[in-house]
Amino acid sequence: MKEQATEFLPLNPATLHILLALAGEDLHGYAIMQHVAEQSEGRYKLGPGTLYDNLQRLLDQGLVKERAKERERSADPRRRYYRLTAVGRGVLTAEVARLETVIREAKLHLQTARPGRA
Amino acid sequence: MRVLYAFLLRLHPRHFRERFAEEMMAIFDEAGSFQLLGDILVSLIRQRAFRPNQQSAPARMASPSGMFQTLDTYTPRRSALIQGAALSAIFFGALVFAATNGARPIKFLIGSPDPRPGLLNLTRSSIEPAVPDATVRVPTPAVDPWRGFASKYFRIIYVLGALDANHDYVISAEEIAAAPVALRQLDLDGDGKLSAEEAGMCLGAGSFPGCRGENTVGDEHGRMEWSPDQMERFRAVFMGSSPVLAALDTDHNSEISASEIRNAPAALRRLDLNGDGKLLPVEIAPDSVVREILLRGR
Repeated sequence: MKEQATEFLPLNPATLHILLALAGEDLHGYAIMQHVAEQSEGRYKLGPGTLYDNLQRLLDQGLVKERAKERERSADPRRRYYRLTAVGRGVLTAEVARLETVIREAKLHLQTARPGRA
Repeated sequence: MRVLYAFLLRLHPRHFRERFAEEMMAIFDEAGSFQLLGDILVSLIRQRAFRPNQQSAPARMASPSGMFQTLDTYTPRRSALIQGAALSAIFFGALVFAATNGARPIKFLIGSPDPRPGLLNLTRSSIEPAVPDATVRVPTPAVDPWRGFASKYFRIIYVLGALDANHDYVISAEEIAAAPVALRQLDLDGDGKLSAEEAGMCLGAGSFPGCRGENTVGDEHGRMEWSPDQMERFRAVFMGSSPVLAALDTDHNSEISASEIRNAPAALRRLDLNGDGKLLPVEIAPDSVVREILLRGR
């Protein structure tokens, strides 16, 4: 599972934000866009074109799946709800772990570099 | 702006459009802004330039019912399948109904400029499927010799043309009864009687106001250098040339007088040899014509 997850890494920013948005709950496209905007405090805005281009790939890769039943309960019947699959959750976990390593390494490098520069 | 957005969305590859177009329009309807137009434009370039072959090889997918196959990459909606099945059933039913009840099959004869059923009326019983060089009998169409004769006869003898009001080459009982009225229409000079010329005799085209040049007694150039005696002879010959004229001209003075016009119905009924109340071409044709047609028919 872990080996399978690492094949998808590193994730591009849009994919990472989409998977993060879906990590908490199943969302429809517009809600994902809003969620991404909130996550990034408005700095990263995902347009529908980018969103669905990424969703298309995530659906094909099996990281995300559509919850067809949610369409009927939705206020707008055109909406589809997307859910993170087990593989998608594993990939996200692996990406977060990778990023933590990167951040830890980055912090370490920055701390060790600071005195030299000073 | 929505129309432009929908148009740009429509330019996306089919697989992308079918999968996400509805949702993208829903997002536009909810948060429509000018920025989304830029996004859809970028998306269009991305999909067309970098994802052109994505899912280009269509996978065969079975429908939920298992009865249909689709070349598309997605499973059709159940409602679409039901709708399609209903339409197919209606179309098939209409086709079967038309084939068995309502519609008449159209027959074409290849090579004919005028394709009509019955043009080549083959006798199916004469076709022997087991014999490759079987002779197919093509029945010759029945030709009514009387009709061919009558069409000219009724045109040449004006009296006959006037009597045959419905142009069926049969003088019916009603037409016999109405004969006086019909004959008076031929009285061009209004003297109350019909001369041989008014009855249809022509001495060359234009020799008489009503002469159509079809029944020329004179020579082919329409010469009118006839003596009064010759004219009288021509009139007598003409009035005796048709049984109808002869029957109407009871006093044989080469004209149909007012009293003869009045008595025309009785005179015509005397020609009704079979007593059916009407005059057929065979009953009013000159003897020589009757003989010729009968001999030809043997």
